[in-house]
Amino acid sequence: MRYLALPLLSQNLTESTARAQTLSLYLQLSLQVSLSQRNESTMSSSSSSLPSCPKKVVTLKSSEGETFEIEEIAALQSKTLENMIDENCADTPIPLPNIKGKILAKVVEYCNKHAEVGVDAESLRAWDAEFVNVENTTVFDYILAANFLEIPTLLDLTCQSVADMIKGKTPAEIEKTFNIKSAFTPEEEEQVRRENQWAFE
Amino acid sequence: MYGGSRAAQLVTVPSPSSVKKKMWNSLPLDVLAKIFSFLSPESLARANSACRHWHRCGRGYLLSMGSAVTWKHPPWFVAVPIRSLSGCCYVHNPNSDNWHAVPLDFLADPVRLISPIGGGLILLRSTSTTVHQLALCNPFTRQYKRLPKLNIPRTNPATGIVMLDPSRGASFPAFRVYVAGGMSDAPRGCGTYESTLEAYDSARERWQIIRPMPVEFAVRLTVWTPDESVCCDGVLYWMTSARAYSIMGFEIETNNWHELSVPLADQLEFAALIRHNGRLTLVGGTCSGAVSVWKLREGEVWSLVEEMPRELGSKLLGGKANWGGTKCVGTDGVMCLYRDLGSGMVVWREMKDNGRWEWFWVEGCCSIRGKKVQNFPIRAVLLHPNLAPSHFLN
Repeated sequence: MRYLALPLLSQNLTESTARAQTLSLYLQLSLQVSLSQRNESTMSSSSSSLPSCPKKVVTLKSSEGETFEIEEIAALQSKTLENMIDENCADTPIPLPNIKGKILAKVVEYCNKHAEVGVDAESLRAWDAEFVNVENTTVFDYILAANFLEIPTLLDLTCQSVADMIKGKTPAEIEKTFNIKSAFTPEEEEQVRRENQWAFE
Repeated sequence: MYGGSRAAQLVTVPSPSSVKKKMWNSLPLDVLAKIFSFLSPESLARANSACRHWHRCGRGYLLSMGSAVTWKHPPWFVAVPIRSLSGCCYVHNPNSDNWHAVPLDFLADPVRLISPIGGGLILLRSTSTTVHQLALCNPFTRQYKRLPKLNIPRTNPATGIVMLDPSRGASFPAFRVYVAGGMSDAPRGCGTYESTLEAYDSARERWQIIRPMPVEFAVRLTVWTPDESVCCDGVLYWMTSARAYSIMGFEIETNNWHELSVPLADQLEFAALIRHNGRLTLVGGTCSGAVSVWKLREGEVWSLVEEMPRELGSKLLGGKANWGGTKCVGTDGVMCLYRDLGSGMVVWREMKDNGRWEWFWVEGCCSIRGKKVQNFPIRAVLLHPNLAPSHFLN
């Protein structure tokens, strides 16, 4: 929505000129209102308020078809989205069929947080720690989303948190935590054990 | 309709029943490799054992070397018993401050440790022959490879390593080994000092004879020089202990030799050269009981930069009368002084959080997993354990 350059109504105007100017003003205002109304109807229902100054917004569509808005400046943290914005392909909703709405909402929240100005490093670190303080299945989804959208900070954060989950665990505990089956043949098992035996407590 | 390659990669939505299957053991390899890059070596070894996919990633994920890589983890102290009777080397984990025994049963020969090469590789000398025979090894991947024979067989030469700049297009590992001096078999049956220098290039994989060196240097390098060398600013340095300590320097580009004096040369009971923050550094212990660290400055002048705290020095001496038998290893960021496997060591390390250097004591290796370990005399190196097998060592 653009600000109107409101002309100053001079005191010395004749009545007809004043009327003409008022009419012109009214027409411009109503045009603006109808334009913003049209914008409103194309915006997603999850948008909370009209932007107060010209901000470009990118719309993302999750695998279930739910749409999420993200300000362009926050979206630039994703190299994938940045490329699309640069190539002017971000004007229509971008489908992300491999990211669920639940996860996409959180990823948008992450990008918004990291695009904020004036946040000190300490509190951002604490916020990040809370962000990954979730079930490891959720972290798994975050990793895939961050990888697809190429968000390096989120990818580092989530990968580090998984590494922290691995640290200090025996192979058996790792298999249990991450629900993986070793699937080694007996020969492979023997070789793997010989290679890595030194590290087992 | 949508530009960019990313939007075009539409991935099919997995059906609910297959979601559970597509989990951690099918994570894309590059993402898994990123997770693994945050793991210290012992955690990586355990992760490697979890499943085939993780094993493939952990072993194929090659830690690249060179100064461009910032090591997320500190180097490990790797001690090889001098007479390799135990069939193991002993490594100290700086993260958890405990020791591990890494088997060396895959070695084809009995060996003596010479130097780390970088990328987790170690240069060894095979002691099955008196003639100088070198080999490479990585204890964590159980790989061992002998280098080709020297052009001129010799015994007891000095060995030096130069890491080549990997950015110059050389593939990993990129290094050169120099062998100088030694005794060769003369036709009449008594040895003569061999005054040639040979160099082995990892790219060409063969030895080349370089022009001869002054005979008196060859003698000093043969009789009084241990195998450790330090390369700084294109010069290969060896410490020689002919009566008073002195340093031999070999300028690689010009093939010129020169000698450097050592501070307090006649008072030192042990002296070692290390590389510290990119500069040639000398660590020595005097008869007064002090251990000092000197750095070589412009104009080949030594300046004292640090002294070991006295109480740590006494602990290291362990009641012995002098510093004989004390050894030192160092790399950028850390320095270790040690004697035997069980006697403990003094570490001087740069702290990651504030960049200050601090001294502390590390207990020696007396037992592993409850089993007692003999107090072997050892030679040690500092290296970053590399769990990925190297094609070069096959």
